[in-house]
Amino acid sequence: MIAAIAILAVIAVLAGLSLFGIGGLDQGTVLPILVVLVAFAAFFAGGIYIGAALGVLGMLAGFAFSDRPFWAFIGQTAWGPSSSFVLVSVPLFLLMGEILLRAGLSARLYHALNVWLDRLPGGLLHTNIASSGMFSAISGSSVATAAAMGSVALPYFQGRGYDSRMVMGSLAAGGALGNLIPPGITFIVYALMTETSVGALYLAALGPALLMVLLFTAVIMLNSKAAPPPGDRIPLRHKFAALIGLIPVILLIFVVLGTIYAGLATPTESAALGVVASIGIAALEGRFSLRMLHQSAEATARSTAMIGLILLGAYVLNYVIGLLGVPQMIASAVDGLPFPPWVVMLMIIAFYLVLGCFMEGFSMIITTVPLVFPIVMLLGYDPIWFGVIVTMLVEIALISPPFGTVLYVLQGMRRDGKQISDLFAGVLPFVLVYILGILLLMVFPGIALWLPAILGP
Amino acid sequence: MTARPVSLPLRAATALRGGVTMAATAMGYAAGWCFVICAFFIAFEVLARALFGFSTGSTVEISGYMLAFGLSWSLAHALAQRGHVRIDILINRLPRSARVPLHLLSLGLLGVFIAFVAYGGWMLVDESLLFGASDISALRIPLAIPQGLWTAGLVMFLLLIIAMLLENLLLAIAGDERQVERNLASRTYDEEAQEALEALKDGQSGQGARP
Repeated sequence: MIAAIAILAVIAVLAGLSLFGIGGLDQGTVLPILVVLVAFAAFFAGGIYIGAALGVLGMLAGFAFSDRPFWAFIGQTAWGPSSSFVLVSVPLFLLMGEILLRAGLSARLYHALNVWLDRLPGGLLHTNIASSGMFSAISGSSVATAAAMGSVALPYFQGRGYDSRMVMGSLAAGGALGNLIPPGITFIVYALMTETSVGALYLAALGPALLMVLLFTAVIMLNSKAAPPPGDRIPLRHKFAALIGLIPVILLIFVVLGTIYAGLATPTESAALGVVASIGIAALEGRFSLRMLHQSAEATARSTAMIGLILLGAYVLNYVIGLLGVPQMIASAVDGLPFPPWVVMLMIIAFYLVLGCFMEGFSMIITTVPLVFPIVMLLGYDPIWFGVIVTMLVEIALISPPFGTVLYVLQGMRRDGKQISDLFAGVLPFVLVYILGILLLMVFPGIALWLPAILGP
Repeated sequence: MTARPVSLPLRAATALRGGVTMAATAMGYAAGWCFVICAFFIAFEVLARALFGFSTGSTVEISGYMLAFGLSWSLAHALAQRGHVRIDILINRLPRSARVPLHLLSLGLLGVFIAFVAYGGWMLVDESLLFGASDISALRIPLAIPQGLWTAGLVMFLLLIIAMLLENLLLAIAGDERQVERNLASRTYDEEAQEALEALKDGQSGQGARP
């Protein structure tokens, strides 16, 4: 029921956007856009594979509205992204994450962060944020992160007097930092589609990532009553002992990000080094086996195929609507709107927040960016800045009640028998500060753009 | 549940789908290992270039081809594992009798699209062969080789789609909606989470987690 209403809302937003444009356009061009948008909504509502929905729409639009033999270039259109060197980094980062997931680091990561953060007001809740954030930064899958951190963290809380809402809320919220903290694959896909620099996006993400960590910390500090008072001071000796176990991971992050930031390697090359290093770590942990590598490889292939199919569909659709001049039409329609740019930007953000309820992050970015990006450029926003905003919106989608996938994964893991509404209430403050973070970024774009401006090429 | 008499065409379709799936799984494994090899290849090139000033001069091209290979060869395997993304929030709320036609329609449209792309791939290979096209890397690799492998993956994907469509259509006609649902509904987050937990358990079986 809620879903149906929200879908209608999306259609209304889409139709509204294109109707607004009528003033600036002749009737002949509005009809195709409207037809495509309605078909879009119908396909998605009907549960068509997203890649197929995009591709078939492209075919329909091409056969209906183009008098050129567009099918003659389909092979080239699909081959381009399939063999792109930038995109090679996606399976490599996925592979690195799969190997590290199996290297058994999650428990150690949680323990090490715990002994360091234990005495902050809010205690283990900070550990939840930090460990989920760090783990999702290297894992690439939000569901895997939620499952891994949930299984490690929840036993720590049993019988310790924490408020279950904040426990679950902070676990979910931390996982939603993963794509924002470099090296996230969302940025790679965005960079591929908009021809921006992955390195610049990674630099731009650091400020907002830090901002979100601070905001989340503030939420926990304000709710410090949700945690029992801190226990005994842990001797520094123990703290450093815990840290030693993390040295390999810290080195790994340093290798991957350091080489990108220092300009020593492209993201693809860093990802390859990361894979080799993570195999080394797994071997060091005594958890490397051919079977484990085989499972990691298989999971990587599956995820790559999933992203790949959507990309194929999107490229076919983009190619056709590019031929038809749709992005320019939409851009000029938006240009004719009697609002200042920031109102349009707020509308775009609202659109993503609604869409995020239905669509998994990658699909959402790949589907929408080709249409939204020209508008954003026309409005005069920075492409790197927008990449960060979109990524944050995707992250919000993961933890937004009532559909956020991460919430259901965590709910499935709790053993205290409470309803999911309890979890919704717990995550809500984090969702709200996440949106606050986006608004801050709108007012102060420098949070994202300052680093790439002084360090970038 | 009592076993229903299974018609001959359905049995044949199931056997066909089983055979294609086995081939697709093998191709998916090959794709996965291709990524592992790709990682070592790029890492080797980076280190060799930095330390010994040596390189094949074709890293970008070769790893791009490996991606194309890995991507297209894993497509069918991902379908067999129900790994391709659909928006199922709405259809999960429909009664099963309404879901089954949507599952079949979804698969059918995927077939239409992939047939189109595979045709495009085939044209591309044909053209590359005709002109003897090779890339601009130091190795001058003939483009028909990577493009041919890429197209082969697409064709395999198409074959599996057709086999699955056939089998599930016959199942739906026979009235076994439950089985269609099992074959075609996309993976739930529960299944995904379960898989992550199992991967985690594998990792921790060595020493056991420290609480």
